Amino acid sequence: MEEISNKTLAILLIAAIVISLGGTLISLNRLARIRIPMITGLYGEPYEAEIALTITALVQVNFTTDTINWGSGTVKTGYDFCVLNSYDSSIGANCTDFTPQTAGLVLENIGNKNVTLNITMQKNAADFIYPTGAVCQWNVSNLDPGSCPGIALTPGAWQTCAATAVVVCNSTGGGFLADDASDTLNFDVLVQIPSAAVGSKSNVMTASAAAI
Amino acid sequence: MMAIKPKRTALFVSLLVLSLILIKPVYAVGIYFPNDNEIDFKPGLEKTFNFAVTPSNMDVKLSVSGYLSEYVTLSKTLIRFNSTDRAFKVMIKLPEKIENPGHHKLWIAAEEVIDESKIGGNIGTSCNAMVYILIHVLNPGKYVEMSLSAPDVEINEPVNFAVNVKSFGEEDINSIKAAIDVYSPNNEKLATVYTDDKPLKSNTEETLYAQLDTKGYSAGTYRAVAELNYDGKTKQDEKKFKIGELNIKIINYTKEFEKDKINKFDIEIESGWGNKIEDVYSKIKIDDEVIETPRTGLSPWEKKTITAYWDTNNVETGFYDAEMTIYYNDKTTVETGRVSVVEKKEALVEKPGVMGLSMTTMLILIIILLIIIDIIWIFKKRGSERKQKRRKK
Repeated sequence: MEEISNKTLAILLIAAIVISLGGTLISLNRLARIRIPMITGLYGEPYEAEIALTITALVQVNFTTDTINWGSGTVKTGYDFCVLNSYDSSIGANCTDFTPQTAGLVLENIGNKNVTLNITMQKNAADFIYPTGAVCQWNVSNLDPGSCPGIALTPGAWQTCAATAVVVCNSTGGGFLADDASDTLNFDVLVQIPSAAVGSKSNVMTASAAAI
Repeated sequence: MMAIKPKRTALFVSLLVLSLILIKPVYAVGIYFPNDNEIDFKPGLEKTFNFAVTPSNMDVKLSVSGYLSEYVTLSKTLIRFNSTDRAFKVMIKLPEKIENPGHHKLWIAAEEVIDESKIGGNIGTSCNAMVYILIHVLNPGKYVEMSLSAPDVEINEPVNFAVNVKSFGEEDINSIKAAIDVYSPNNEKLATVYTDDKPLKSNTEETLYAQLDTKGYSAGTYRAVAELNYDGKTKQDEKKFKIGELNIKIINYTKEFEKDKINKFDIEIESGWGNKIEDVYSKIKIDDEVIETPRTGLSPWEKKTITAYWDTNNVETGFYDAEMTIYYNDKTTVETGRVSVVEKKEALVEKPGVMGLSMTTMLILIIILLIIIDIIWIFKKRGSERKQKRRKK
């Protein structure tokens, strides 16, 4: 085996340093999500110290699983419609070629404040898929137990996709919690595609979080 | 040729690592806002609050809504997704007079402007965040808001009631005083206790205290109703409180089991005691067989599920009596329930788990790998240099 040159070693060392620095930067960047705009250490009498610390409040929810993509496919010949959902490892019996989806949308409260939560869909079923015979529904469930103690909807109960806001977590029981152990909700989606529907279809679920 | 390969590999690894470093996680929009987000109305008051939005994949539209929103100006109404300046100011200039007294919320909203080109899949997502500035507008005359607190206690311990009173009126109050009526679990009035008497200045708050002697009261949930009298006007608030005893109740338990299987036998229990109870466990006797739960502790008034396992192999389907005994502090709670064993249901197929490798984990692995490679090469190089030196000698 040929000798490794000093140059190669130097490149590898630089790469290692860059990685270490990069890792540190990323860690600091993540820590920076908890903003501390003012940290003051006041040194007074010997052996005395005072630290003033203000942690800024943050209202933020984030979809950690942010898309559902069944890809492209068709309704089997001879059938009026087929049904796709986000939780089944097999596609609907009357569907062909679509990609089954086994995970719904996952929403996490990544801020440090409990919030109320509303959900709106950009389009209803008619605008989303086809004017007649189409269905678009979603439901909510606690992914972390107790994430929304005063949940305003029955977990798992289907809601019709609509552009008007649906209250999911109200302030009863603290709303959608920011506590890391219980701050995640799951949203499953179900669509019924009539055989007459063609073309690319997309819809957007919007989560609106308001400070309590 | 051989010398080029490690160089290429090193370059590839460096590029890969750099690209990983440059991937900055971007979340949906959020709003940073000050903790002191409340102001008391004063005629013509001007105040500026500093806010900021978090990085977002999409442009962010800023808006303000709510009563008094006409007196608010935002320094920006749109923040582009690629803008590094994410801060904005909320400038409030209140009028000389506000018609409606009360606590008014001014809502500041950050909404992602949906850009379909950035949304993948058939169902995409976006997020909005809303925070508020609270403006307190005093009521004309004398006006208060109150809240009663009534802590849970052990049996025979006194209850210390506290009545917090906030003045939201323009006029000072000469005297605030509360009478607290206590009702039994059967809703019979048991006692009335009185707080001290204090004056209350406009836009300030005070807490009034009173103590209830509970000697002779049995364990249970009681109700306290406080009536506040402030210069001839009254206001009420009520709270429930518990007087506890060392007792654990069985709330619920598993009632159906599958045949030929090791089943979980859950028992939901609740502590009626205001201190921690250690070493709680249950023995369950079913048809001459005894199963036992692990030992656990219960926090004050805690509800918990304790679990035993029942092997129903060779157990016939049908109904059985289950005698559940909870053991704690030399006491027991016994309840007998009816449970059933049914034919095994079709097994659910469990989804295989996916082990995710986070970016940090990947970076750590790459660093470790590179360090190991470096160390090996350094030692090899030294070895070969020594060999060469020996040859020269």
